[in-house]
Amino acid sequence: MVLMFYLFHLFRSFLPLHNPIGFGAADFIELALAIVLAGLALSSRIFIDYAGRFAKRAGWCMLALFILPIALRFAMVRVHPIPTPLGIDDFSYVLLGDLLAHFRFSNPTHPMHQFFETLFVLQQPRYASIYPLGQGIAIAIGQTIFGNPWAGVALSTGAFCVGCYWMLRGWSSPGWALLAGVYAALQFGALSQWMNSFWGGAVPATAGCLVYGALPRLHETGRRRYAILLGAGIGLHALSRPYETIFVVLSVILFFAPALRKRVEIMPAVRAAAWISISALPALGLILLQNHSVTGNWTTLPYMLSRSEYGVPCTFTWQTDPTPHHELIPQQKLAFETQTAKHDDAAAMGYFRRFVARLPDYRFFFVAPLYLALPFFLLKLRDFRYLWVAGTILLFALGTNFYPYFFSHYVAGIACLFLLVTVVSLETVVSVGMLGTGAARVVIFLCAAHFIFWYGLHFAGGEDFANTMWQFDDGGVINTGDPQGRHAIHDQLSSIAQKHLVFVRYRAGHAFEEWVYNAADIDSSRIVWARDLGSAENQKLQQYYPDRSVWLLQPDVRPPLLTPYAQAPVHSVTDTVITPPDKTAPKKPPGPLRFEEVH
Amino acid sequence: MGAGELVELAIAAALVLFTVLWRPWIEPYGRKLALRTGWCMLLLAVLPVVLRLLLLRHHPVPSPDVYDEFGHLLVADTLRHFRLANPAHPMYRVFETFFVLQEPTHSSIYPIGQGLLLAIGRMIFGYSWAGVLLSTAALCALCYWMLRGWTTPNWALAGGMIAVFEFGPLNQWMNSYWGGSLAAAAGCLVFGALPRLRDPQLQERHRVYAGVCLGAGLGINLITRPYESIFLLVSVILFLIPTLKSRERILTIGRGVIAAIIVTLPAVGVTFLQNKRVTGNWTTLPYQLSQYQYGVPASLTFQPDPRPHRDLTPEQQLEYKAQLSFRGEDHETLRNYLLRLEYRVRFYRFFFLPALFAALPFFLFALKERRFQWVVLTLVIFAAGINFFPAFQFHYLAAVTCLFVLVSVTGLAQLNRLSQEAARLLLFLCILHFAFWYTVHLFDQQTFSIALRKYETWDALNHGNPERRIEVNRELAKTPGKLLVFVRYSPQHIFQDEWVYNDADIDAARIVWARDLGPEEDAKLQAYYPDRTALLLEPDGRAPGLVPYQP
Repeated sequence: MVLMFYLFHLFRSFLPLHNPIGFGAADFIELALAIVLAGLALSSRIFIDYAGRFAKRAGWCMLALFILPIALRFAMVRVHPIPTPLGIDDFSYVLLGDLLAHFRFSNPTHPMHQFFETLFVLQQPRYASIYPLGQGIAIAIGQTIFGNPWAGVALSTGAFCVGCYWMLRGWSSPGWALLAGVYAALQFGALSQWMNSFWGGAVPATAGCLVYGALPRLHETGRRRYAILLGAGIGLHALSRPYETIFVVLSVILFFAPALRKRVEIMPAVRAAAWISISALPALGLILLQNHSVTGNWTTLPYMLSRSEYGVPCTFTWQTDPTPHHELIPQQKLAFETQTAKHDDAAAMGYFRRFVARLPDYRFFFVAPLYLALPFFLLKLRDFRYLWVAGTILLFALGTNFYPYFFSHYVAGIACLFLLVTVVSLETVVSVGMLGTGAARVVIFLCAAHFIFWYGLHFAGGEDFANTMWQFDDGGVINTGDPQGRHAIHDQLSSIAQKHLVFVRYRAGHAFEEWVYNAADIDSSRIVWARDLGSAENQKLQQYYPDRSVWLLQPDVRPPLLTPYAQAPVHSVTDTVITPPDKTAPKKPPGPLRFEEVH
Repeated sequence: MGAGELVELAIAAALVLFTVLWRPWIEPYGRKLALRTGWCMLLLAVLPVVLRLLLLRHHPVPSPDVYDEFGHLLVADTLRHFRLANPAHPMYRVFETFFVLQEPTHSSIYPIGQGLLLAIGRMIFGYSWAGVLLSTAALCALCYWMLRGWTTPNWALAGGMIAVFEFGPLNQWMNSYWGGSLAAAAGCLVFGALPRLRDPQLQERHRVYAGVCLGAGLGINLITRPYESIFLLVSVILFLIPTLKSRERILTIGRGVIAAIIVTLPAVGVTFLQNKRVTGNWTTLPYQLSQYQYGVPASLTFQPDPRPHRDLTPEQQLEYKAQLSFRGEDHETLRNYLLRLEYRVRFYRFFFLPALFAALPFFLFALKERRFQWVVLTLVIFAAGINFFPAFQFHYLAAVTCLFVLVSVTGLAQLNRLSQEAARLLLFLCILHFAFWYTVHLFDQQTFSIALRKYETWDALNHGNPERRIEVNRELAKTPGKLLVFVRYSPQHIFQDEWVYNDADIDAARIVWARDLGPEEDAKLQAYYPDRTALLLEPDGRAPGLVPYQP
């Protein structure tokens, strides 16, 4: 009984005098580290033997690696529920997924589209997301098969981990490949932003695995299937991150460049290039089709049209700021101004300073103990293959440096190369001899301790200990609770078996927490979210949807307040009400917008 | 990079560095050094002192604050005058304070051990705290010596280093005047001598030396922590009992035991002498007389509550009530006893670094050996024995400190049999633990240091506190001549914040601290000290107010 008492109350306080064994938070961390390190040291021999044998079974390894991140994420569903869209990009990707699930690239403009104006969604000439298809396809698959868009994110993460193992089998030994696959599952899995949002990352990363895993195999064997896989990888990447695909293609060309000096290699290279191109063609076709469907033009990306219409997303740093050609609602204005300011700041910063400032962002791909091993990669740069790896990473870093923003999924295509660098670095450390082996083991043990600690904490979750420690979780981005109160509102609406029309009324100063996002087929969706345009305009929408119960949502009240629309106070909400565009009035030349103008 | 990542990287870098340096550098040199007892002891004695002195910039010489500390300092000052007690002062009523007897003599209620050490420090180095440093040095060095009797030289050296990390520069024992290290050093002598005393392979001469050490340890502990000496003696007897089975073995330990008894006798004599000088009775401890007169310190839990037989000042009355409250209102029952025992488990963290908790389960493998069963039994006896104290202080367990280190080291040694790497990593983590917090204190005013300090547990390094006392003392030092300071408390005064503490020779002291008993009584004291400048201290203001005294 006493033992049970201690087991279950060990963490009841982190004030040493209140804790049953006198431990503070730091003591627990230290003890956990000690137990993990000692445990790994004790069990490593058995573990290495077993893992070494297992690593050679490619099929089983791939299956295990596919399941691992998904199983881990599901294991913590109690504390961290299945993610729902939160950010503006999330909603846009979910819309794309929904469109694709209906086998469409876009939908016709809604007759009441002014109510549905939001961020990163085009209303005219078609109702569509501004994003390329890749991530949307994953979401659509998840939605179609499992009924939940996030399932696609989970599947893509599993695929990425499998891809990492497969890619590294082309570069390294099975043991290291398995280790890297496990690392990928833990680092880019359950606790990662890639798996806990709808923004993506795993899809282009999987594409990168296909490309960079096929390269050495194609180079060594010349087999057609590797060319097809390479092309498929390029295609998938183009569907997810079109701009960065330029660097993928460049890196592929650079890989084969030395071989082309020999005449005998030219013909096989041409044949391979042909197969690569053929394999990538379907993706190119899909891109063109999407462009045409959404923008009406084969060569205009939805992204570009959004820039022209709404001024967002911002342009590359060498380009001038876009000018919106569409009347913006306050939230769109704010997004435009913020992105413009970011663009101008980034441009003013200069290319090199920006590049240096972004280097810390690459920590996303590594856990801290690995920093000690990474310098050893430099010793391998005499080998062309690794010089090429470094060059490819540099190419991506330089290329994505033209973005005013930086997000990890911009360089997701080379995520597997970061893993390769890690593995090669550790291999190099081990090659130093006994001392190196010891050091490499310590680094690997500490990585394991890192994951055991953070995963353990998130599994335990919800306790004081977790709340105390989450603030120090620099890498992990996992949804906890219901910070914006969306679940509560959804639950409230779901409890009523009717169709709903929800008018969203923002207060002055409302920032980026956007609530007006709708399904692909607005009219048939159970909940329609609409902007509150004032009682006269709202009435028109009410008449358009006569069979729906009407609500007013005030998201800026804490917690967000949902009331029947009829009972809501009737007053002018100048901060959110927009005047419907008067088509007859002469268009005002768009000048620089100021934040204050929206208030 | 966030704080978590930075710490993680630092840990990784340190562990990799240790791993890389271990085989070619640390281990070979450590092995060689571990065999040189003298050098090891010197190193382990010097190391904590040097490390603590390096922190002086941000952590100056500790200033006494708690009334027990003042009690020990009074013992030290009394001993410096080559006395065990001072005559009662004719104006003693104004000097009433905590844990100091005014009648029949002006004396501290504490045994002389800690005071003796402080006196030595003061006489040799001019600072009482130097005595504390010496005792820590002795503890760390003797810990190694003790472990040499129980384990291999390498693990003994590792244990000595663990002692430095745990009980060295960052520890409460080294940063206050309450003591702990001296009793712990005494424990090292006792528990280090025992296996040597029984070792038939040792020369007779060395066994006699062991007996001398045993006696010295018992004696020092007796004059430091008399009550716990009972358990120490019981554990010694339990250790030697198996020896009594054969005549041959009895002869082996005979001379050593006699030497031990002879060496212990002076301590017994000093204790009796102190009793006689302070209380007027050979067998009444000053502590007991304080219980009789002032009702404090609280009695053991199975004893009845003491009742004061003297008029108490308001602060003494509150202290008396506070000490009674430690015991609770209920009479001692087995349930109370066990609950207290269970509650106090948390305090044992003081004796183990967190990483060592991971090694402790492996100590169980060592329990096949009788001597380690005895270690556990001794620890149980101490834990059970001191559980009769209504309150708990770490120094109650000080005598068995080296046994805690022995348990840690044995756990590590057992783990080492299974995996050298695992044991090495735990040892590295211990080094890292100390290095981390030491660095935090070395750069005490840095932002990272301030941010991290809240996560530090069980270390008790002074940060220039108690600031108010230091400030008042600084003011007084600026005032020339002899001073008489009347201390006037406000009705809201926190009773433990006592300011009236005086030297052994009150009349000769430059500063005399006195209670403010009203103009009439104060005038008598002023008349008694006509050559002193009278000042009034009101310590309960936001900043303690020190002004010239005006009746």
